Amino acid sequence: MIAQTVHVVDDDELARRGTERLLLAAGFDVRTYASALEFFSAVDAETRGCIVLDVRLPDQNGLDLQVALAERDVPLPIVFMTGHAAIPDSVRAIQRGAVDFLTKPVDGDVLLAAVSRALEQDAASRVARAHRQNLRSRYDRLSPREREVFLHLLRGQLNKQVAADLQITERTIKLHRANIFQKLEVTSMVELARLAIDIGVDPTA
Amino acid sequence: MSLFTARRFRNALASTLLLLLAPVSDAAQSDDVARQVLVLQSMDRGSLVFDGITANFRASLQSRAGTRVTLLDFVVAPAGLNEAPEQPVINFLQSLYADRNPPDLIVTMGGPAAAFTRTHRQRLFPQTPVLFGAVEERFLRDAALKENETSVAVSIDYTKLIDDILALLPATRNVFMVTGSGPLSAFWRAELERNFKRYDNRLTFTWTDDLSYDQLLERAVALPPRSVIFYITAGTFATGSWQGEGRTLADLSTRSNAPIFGAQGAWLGSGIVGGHLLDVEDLGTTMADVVVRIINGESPADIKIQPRSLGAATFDARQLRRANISEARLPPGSDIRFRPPSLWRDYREETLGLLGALSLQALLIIGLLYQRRARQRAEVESRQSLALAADANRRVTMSALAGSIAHELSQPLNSILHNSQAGKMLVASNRATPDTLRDILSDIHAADVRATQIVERHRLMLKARQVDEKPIDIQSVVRETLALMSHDTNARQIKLDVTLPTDPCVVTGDQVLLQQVLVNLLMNAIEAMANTPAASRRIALQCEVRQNDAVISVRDSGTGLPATVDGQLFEPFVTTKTSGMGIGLTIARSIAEAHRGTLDARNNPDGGATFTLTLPRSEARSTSAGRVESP
Repeated sequence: MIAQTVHVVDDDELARRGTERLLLAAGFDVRTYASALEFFSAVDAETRGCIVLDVRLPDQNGLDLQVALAERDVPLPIVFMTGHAAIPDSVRAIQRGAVDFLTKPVDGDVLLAAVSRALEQDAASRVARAHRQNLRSRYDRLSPREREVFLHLLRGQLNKQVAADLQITERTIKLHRANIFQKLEVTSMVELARLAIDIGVDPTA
Repeated sequence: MSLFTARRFRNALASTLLLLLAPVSDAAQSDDVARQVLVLQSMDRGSLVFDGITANFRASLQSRAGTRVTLLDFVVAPAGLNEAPEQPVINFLQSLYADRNPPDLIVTMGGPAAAFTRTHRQRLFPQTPVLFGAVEERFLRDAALKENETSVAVSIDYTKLIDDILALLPATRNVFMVTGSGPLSAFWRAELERNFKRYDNRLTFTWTDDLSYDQLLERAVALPPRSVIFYITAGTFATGSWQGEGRTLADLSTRSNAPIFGAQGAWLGSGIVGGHLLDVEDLGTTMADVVVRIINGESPADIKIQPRSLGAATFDARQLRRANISEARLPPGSDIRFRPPSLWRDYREETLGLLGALSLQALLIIGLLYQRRARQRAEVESRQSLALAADANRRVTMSALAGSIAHELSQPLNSILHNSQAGKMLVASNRATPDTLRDILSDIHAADVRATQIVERHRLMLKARQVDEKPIDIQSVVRETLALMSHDTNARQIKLDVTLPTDPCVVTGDQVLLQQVLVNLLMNAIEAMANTPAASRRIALQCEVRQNDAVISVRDSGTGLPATVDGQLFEPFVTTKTSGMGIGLTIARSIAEAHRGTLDARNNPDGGATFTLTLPRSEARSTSAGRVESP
C-alpha cells in the first residue's frame, strides 16, 4: 500500500521537525511547509492526503488559510494544532469542516488518531468526488434541449405534459427521454432522480 | 511557619484597644464593580510555602468567585531585615487608595503580615474586613479577633513530626534544628524546647539561631552519625541575609548526609523526607472559600474555620532511598511520591514526567508572576524607591502577560513530546539508527534550551533588582521586549512595524527597567486599540539613533489621549483604563529620568498616540564593545 501524505504546516522549525518525525515513524509520507504561502502555492485540487496546520503562522492565520483553501476547492481535511486554544476559533474551524482542533503540546497518539481519521475522510471524499465527477461528465453529454427535458422529467411531469410545456410532440419527448437515459446510463426514473441529487441539479431552478 | 516579632505583637495589642470604638460599616456593593482585595504578604517571592499558598488561593478564587475580584499583592515585611520600615509601607498603602474606595477586603498571608495589620489596623482601613490567612494560631491567641475579622490559621504539632522521625529512624540521637535567626527563631526555640522536653532522654536538639548561613552549612556537613536535620522555616540568618527555602533545602540536601524533615507539604520534592505534612493546597482553597463568603455578604465574625493541622503522611521516594528507610516502616496508607521511572521500558511515562516537570515549572512561573513586593511612597524619588516601585509595577504588568508563557512553552514541549514518541516507536520496531536517535536527542535538547530561555526571560523581569548601570544595546532591549510581547500582539491581531538601526546603539543603564518601559508603552498601545477594528490596529515601533540620543517611539492607531488627562498623564493614579492602578506611566517616566532621558506623549494628527522615549547615548563612555550586555 502506498503511504498516505500528511502535509505539516508550522513556522516553528523545532515543532515542525518533531511532528514530521512522529508521522514518519508512524509510516506516513510527510511534506513540511514553513508558511501558509509556501503550502498554498504547492497544492491544488488534485493534492491528496491531509493537513496538520498550526493556527498561528507568520504570514496568514491558519483559520484564514482554511477558508482560502476551500475557496480554491482544495478538499484536504485539516487537523489544527494551536498553542493557545481559543474556543471561538475552534468552533469556527470545526464548523468549517476541520477534523480536529488540538492544543499543543499534543500527545502523539492523539495526533496520529486525528491524522488517521483525516486520511480516511480524504479517501472517502475522494471516492465520492470521483463518483460525482463521473456523473457530472455523463450529464455534460446532454444537449441543451435534453437538459430542458431532463428538468421537466425531474419535476415528475408525464411525457404529455412536458410536450405541452415545450410545445413539441410527445413522440419527440419520448425520443429525448430515451437518449437521456442512455447518456446518463440510468434505467429508471429513481436512478435519474438520485443522479440529479448527487450532481446537485435543482429541478425547480 | 512565619516570621514574628514579640515586640510587634505587643504593639498589636496596644493598637487593638484603641480600635474598639471603630464602627463597622457596610461596604458599598455594586455588582458591576470588581471587588478589590488587598493581599498583604509576609515574604517576598521565593518562599515555597507562601508562593504555593498564594498560587492555590488565586486559582481557587478565580474559579469560585461569582463576581470580578481584583487582587493587589504587597509585601509588608521586607526580606533580609528583622524589622520592617513600617511607616513608608503604611504611607504607600494609604496613598494607593487615596481618592478612591478603600479595598473591600484585606487578606494577610503569614504571621508578619498578620502582626503588621493588627498593629496598624486603625490606619489600614479599619472598616474593611480582614482575613488573617496562613498564620500560626499561636500568633493569634493573645488578642481576640474583632467583629470584621476572621482567620484561616494553621496549628502545627511539631512533636508529631518528631514521632514520625523516630518511627522511621529509631536510632536517631541528634536533631539539628534549622530555624533561621532573629525574633522568630527565638520564639520557636522557646516554644519547641518546651514541647520537646518529653524526648530529653532520647534525643539531643542542636539550635542554630546564632549562625550565619555559611556557618550553618559547615555545621550541617559535619553532623555526627544518627543525626537528622529539622527544618522549621524560611527566614533570616544571623548576618541578616534572607533566602527562599528552595535554596536552603537544596544546599542542605546536597552537602549533608543527614535526612531532612520539615512540616510543610510545599517542601516535598525539594529535599525533605516527608511525614505528616501541612497541605498547602487546602490552605489556599480554604482561604479562597472564606473570601468568597465575605464578598457574598457573610459577616467575618460568623465564619469560624478550624485551624489547619498536619495532614496525611506523604513521602519523597528518592529521599527515603537516600536515607535508607524501608517503605515497610512507613505508616499504613502513606502516599509515596517521586518514584523513579525506568528509562526505555516506561518511555511514555518518562516523557509525561518531563512534561509534568516543565508544566510545573510553567505553573510556578505563572505563580511567580502574581508576586508582589512594594513598600514604597507614592512619589518616586530616590533610586532605591524607584527600584521598589518598578518591581511592583513590573510584576503587575507581567501578570497580564501570563498567557503568553503557556503559549510559548507549548512549542518546545510539543517538539519534545513528538520527538520522544517518535524515538520510542522507532526503538520498539527496531528501526532506530544511532543517527536518527542522535538527531532526535539533539532536537529534544534544543527544545529544552528554548523552554529554559522563555522561562528565564520572564523570570528576569520578575526578579527584584537594584537599578543597574551598565552599557546595554538598545536593540537587545527592543528585541527582548518584542519576544515578551509577541503572543499578545499576535493574539490581538496587531500589525507591528519595527524599525531598528543597523548598528548597535549603546546607552548606560538597566536592561530590565528599560524593557519594562517598553512593555508598559506597548501594553498601553494595545489597550488603546481594544475597540479599533482589527484591520486598522497598528503599532509602529521605531528606534532612531541621533548624534547624542537614542530615540524610541511607540505609535498606535487607537483612541488617542483624552483631553481629561492632559498634563497629568504621568501623574500617579491617573488612568483612563478600567483596570490597572494608573502607576505604569509614572514609573516609566521615572525610569526614563533615572537614565537621564525623557518620556513624552502626544496625539497623532491622524488618530492614536505616540510615546517617545529619549535616552542619551553612551558610545563615547563605553570602553569596549565586549562589555555590552545582551541577555
